[in-house]
Amino acid sequence: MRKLKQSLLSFFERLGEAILALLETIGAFSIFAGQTFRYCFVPPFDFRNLLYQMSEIGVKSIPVGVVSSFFVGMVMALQLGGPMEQQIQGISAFMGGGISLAMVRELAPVLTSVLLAGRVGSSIAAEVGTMKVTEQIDALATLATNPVHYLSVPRFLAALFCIPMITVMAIVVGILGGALISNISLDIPYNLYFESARTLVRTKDLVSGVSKTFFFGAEIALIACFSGFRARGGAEGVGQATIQAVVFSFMMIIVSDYFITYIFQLFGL
Amino acid sequence: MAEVHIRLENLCKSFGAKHVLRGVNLDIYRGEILYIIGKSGSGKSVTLKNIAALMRPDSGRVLIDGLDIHALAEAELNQLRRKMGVLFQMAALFDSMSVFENVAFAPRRFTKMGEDELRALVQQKLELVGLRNVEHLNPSALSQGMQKRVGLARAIALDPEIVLYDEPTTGVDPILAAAVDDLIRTLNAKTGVTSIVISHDINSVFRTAHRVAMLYDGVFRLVGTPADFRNSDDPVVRQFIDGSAHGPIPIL
Repeated sequence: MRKLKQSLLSFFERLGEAILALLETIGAFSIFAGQTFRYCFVPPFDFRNLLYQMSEIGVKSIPVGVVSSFFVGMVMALQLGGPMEQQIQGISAFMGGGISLAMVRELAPVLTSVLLAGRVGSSIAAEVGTMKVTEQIDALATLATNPVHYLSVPRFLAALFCIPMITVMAIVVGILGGALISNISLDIPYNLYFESARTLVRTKDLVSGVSKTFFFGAEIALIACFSGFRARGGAEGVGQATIQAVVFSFMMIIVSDYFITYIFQLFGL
Repeated sequence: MAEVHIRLENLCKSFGAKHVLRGVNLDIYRGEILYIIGKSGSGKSVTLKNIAALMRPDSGRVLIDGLDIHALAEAELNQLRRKMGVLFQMAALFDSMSVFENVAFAPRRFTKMGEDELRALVQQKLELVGLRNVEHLNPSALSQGMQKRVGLARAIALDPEIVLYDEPTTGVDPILAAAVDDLIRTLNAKTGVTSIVISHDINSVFRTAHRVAMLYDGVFRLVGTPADFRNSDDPVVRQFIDGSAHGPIPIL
């Protein structure tokens, strides 16, 4: 009985500690995000650094985003065409609309963001984490430079602007990939495909799909920088921070996708 | 040497149940070379981080020119930090930048110097620490000793009034350690900076220090000249400067 009581106690103790740690992390993250927002509007504005980050985060991510999206468009046409045609003859005339709608509203935004969370989130977390454990972040502070201002702001802004742009490219290329396979394996003429896409996809779909990625971009950069800043104790700590950044941003993208879409639908988007 | 430049007032800092600083008091005079010594984990680095405002004390104050640095707003603190340089233990050079960009970091951000002036300034600072023609190199291409020199050049780029050294001779060979000590003395003589050096290298201490402060058990056990330390008959001080495993200082 006493043993049971004791193990129960220690269970609750550990549960409490875990909850406290979680709350502490959420609090610290909120402060960090708030600081990053605030420093976006505080001089000096480091345009050179911002351009560099846009090239690192944005330009260099174009190939991975675009190629993946092209193949997703292709495989959708491949997977959907046969079964749909078996059920209802002639339904594949709507293939263009179906693929495009899926691409615009969900696939391209989420896929691009998840890919970039892997590519960009890991590199930011590893870089900032290494700077943390080698005292480079302390060095910044002693050089009268706020580390959040110097490191987090350009990465945050670069992700915020670049990820929506890559998403737009991914949408276009994904729709083209679908068109190609629809034409080759289902004999759907290109004009029919694009006609159906034009009827089904509205401007509001595009607005909904692309504006989501602003949130995803912000999540990726903030989580990655935050993990980097909290890295501790050498190479292992940097590894932990990197894993944390990638896993959390994956999860946050998928979870927030649902809620953002839900809220958008309330506003008719 | 009478003017107090930095004053530590009753600094306390704990990490969990571990009380690292238990009320540290010290006046540091303008232009002196002060060594803070003590065994590993005695709170030397914590003291230094408190002075550099990289860490907040639980209680107590750090006054620089009479200003409580932990009570300053960020902009004021950054003003003050331009008058303070820190040399980190592993130099902490920005590895994404060349040596030139490292040394030019603060002048580029806080002065209106043109590229030519920057180039001249960086060259002058590098020469002061005994380096030439390394501007274009990346920090990873430098030896540890050279990295420390570049780190020092970066720390003094804005002609600070205070330079903090975090274990400058730890992990370097004896010849290089002597060279670093020379550098600390030369810089002090040439520019009159107040220098605070964290060290447990007794040779360096006796070679370089004007005054020495020994941290033990969270407070300064003895503050005095190197001669005071040589002549001290406090068993704790004796054990430390004789480097003996036997004595009142617990090893673990």
